[in-house]
Amino acid sequence: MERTPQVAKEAWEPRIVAFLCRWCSYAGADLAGVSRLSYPPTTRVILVPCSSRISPYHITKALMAGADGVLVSGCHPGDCHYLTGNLVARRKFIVLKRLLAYLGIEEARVLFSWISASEGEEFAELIREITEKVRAVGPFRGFLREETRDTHV
Amino acid sequence: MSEDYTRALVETLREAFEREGLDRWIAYAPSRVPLRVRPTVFTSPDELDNLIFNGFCVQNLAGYLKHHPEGRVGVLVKGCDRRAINVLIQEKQVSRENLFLAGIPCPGMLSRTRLLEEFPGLQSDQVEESGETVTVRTPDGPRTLSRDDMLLPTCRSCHHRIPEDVELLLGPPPFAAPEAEMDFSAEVGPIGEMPRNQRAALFADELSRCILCYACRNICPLCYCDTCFTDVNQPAWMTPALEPGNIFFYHVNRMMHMAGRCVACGSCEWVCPEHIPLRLLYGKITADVAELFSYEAGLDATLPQPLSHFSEDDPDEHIG
Amino acid sequence: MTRTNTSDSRFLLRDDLTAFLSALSERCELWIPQAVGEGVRFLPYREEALLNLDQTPPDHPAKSILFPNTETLFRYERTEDGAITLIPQETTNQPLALFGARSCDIRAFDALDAVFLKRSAPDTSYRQRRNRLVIIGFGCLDPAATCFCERMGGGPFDEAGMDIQMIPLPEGYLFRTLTDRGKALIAPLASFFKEADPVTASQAEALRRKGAPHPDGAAVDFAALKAAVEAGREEPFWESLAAVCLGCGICTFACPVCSCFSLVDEGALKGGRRIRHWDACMFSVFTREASGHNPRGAAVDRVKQRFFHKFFYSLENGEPPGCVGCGRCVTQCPTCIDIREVIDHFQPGEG
Ligand code: SF4
Ligand code: SF4
Ligand code: SF4
Ligand code: SF4
Ligand code: FES
Repeated sequence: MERTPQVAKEAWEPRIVAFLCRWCSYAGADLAGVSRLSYPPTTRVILVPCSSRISPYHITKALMAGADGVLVSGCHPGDCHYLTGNLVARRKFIVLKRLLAYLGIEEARVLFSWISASEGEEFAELIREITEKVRAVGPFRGFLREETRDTHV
Repeated sequence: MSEDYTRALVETLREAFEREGLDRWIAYAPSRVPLRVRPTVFTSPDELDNLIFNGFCVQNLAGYLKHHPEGRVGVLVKGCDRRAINVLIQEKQVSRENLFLAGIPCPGMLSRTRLLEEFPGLQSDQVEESGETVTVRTPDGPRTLSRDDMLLPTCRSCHHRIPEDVELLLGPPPFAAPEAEMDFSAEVGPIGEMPRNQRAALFADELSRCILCYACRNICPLCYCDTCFTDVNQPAWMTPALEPGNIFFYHVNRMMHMAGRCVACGSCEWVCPEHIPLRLLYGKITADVAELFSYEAGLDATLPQPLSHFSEDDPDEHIG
Repeated sequence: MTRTNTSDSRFLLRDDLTAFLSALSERCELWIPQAVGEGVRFLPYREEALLNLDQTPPDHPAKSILFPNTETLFRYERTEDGAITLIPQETTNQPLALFGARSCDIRAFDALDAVFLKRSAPDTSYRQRRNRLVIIGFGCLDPAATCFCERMGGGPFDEAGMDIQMIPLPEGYLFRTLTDRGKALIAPLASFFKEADPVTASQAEALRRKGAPHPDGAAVDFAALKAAVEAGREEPFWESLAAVCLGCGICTFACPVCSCFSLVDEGALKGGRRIRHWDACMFSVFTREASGHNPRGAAVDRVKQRFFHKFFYSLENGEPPGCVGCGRCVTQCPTCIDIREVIDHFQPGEG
């Protein structure tokens, strides 16, 4: 999978793919919108049924396809529409997050949060915060793209 | 000495094969390939004459249960084969009643790569294993090495050499390395402490040799999906093009599939034609699962697996 | 290809090899066997590369110079108005020099040529590289226990297909120039060479004639093998191999002859490309059809296919046999599936 060429540093704005569960976080985002709260237009939202629908495939694929950061957000523990989806997801995500950090991916690129349908302000604040975090680590140059990587054909 | 051991082993297994009326027996036979034995499915007690057990029996035989689920099967198991079978039982890939397990207290398997590095062109019959040493007959006379030094890295850190819950526990071979002192994940800690971009460079360097042959997946006793995520193509998660993105995607996702399942048998590492130190990856997953969920794979087939399970008070340090 | 009448021999001192390669790399695209990680593979020359001429044969076949593991066949771009522009592969006329390949890998090029050039439509990207190729082959002083090239009709000092043959001697290397193309490649580098003195020349000649001892059985009679394999199509022998084969494909990736590939289109809104990558008959998905049906659905079908292609279909199609005896699949197969045993099984009394 090839990455699109990078734009000049000054013009660069973080691109964040946000996977939001439809019952809580997506509704929270919606509330932020109808309440006319302002937050940076850095996220591309993808609606998913539950945070547990998101697997490491989606997160790594988003990064591979050109995202600078990925957010997965679902209901608070106890509130999952499917009762425990987010609790299973929580285990998966901590293992993935630690693994990616170990492999040298900046921690700020992969983020998880719980946002409820009533937390419009919290959602706007979250996006402001992660945008700054991703901005601080800069554009994602792609996996395994360090100087050492010209050894094979 | 080791010949006597093998002869006694053959007789014990033959007796069990006949007594239990098994359909087949999965174990090892010699081959002409230097420093390698062949996993073999023996279909009658007579064929067992050809059975062998030595420090080159590295293939994890649990993997063969994914291809031969029918009938009643005997398996010669080392510690890691036995643990892998537990995971297959947890995942309902095999049923315990259909298995007759003969456990062998594992002496630790030898690293073919290390031996060939030290003795290019070495042949199996030049190697003699006894006690805690390995003696290599060279044109300049015999050289004796410590068995521990010549072990596969994963065997050097194995704490579960003696298979548990077996129908037949065999006597220990007359050659064995001392009990391991380090852990499968011993090298992971120091890497985790390196500066981030050094770590990134380390893995970029190692993984960029990957040719996406998927031998690490195919040999893994616990990879049995009919269609692997690598091969899904409508639409595709990844393509087989040798590019960093695809390579990274493959490894991260396979590692995630092994979290809480990998039994540290080391097969993926020794099979890699590119000699990529995969234990550094699977060791990380294993260390995290142990730390976060106090779980070690393959020890108890009755427990739920950590990643298909949860607890109310799981760590949530990663939730922002 | 024009062969020079008498091969002309010159001598390169061991200590001058590095400077020679560096000078050669300025005149062509040069590939050399180099140590990368714990293995040895053919890669484009770089100043800091670790040349390795000791591993016999190198872990990885030289086929990747002609048939890369992954290659972009073309790209396309799509503009806003929907117009599509095709961007073909870049081409060049610069010579492509393969340095230090063994005779087995070079004989394997015949089989690759049969697939990529001689069937109905020549493969343009392969042909482009093949036409540029100049080969400096390397004689094998020390064949591995698993080498069986002589049984397959070659030999450690077989010079077929080479433009120059290098013979390793104690002090350096004798370069035997065999074709005009080889001559042209090194003519500008004459200052690196000495005339070969008669002693050196006779040492090299002795090596060449002696070949290398191969205790490993008599030469294969391909016609007989083909007939025997065909007659044995349903033998339980195949099941015994399939019972342990992991379907990992290492044997095919390691093989200098194996040439299965797949095409993948990677497309997005603004453009995309078509890539070709190595694939393997040992992978079950290789033949899985869109319907889900798989004509080689069982492991035994795939194991048979690999050997049938090598010893039956190739010959049936008038192509060279699919094995040159390099032994890589033998040493690298994790479960010891040994092509020599397959040969011996079907050609008893010769092993
Ligand atoms: S991932 Fe590797 S070490 Fe773990 S069980 Fe599979 S083959 Fe063995
Ligand atoms: S075996 Fe090695 S080269 Fe093959 S896919 Fe696994 S890591 Fe990559
Ligand atoms: S089939 Fe095996 S021995 Fe024959 S050329 Fe291919 S890798 Fe070498
Ligand atoms: S290398 Fe061996 S196990 Fe792997 S596909 Fe080839 S024959 Fe089967
Ligand atoms: S439905 Fe929101 S996390 Fe499960």
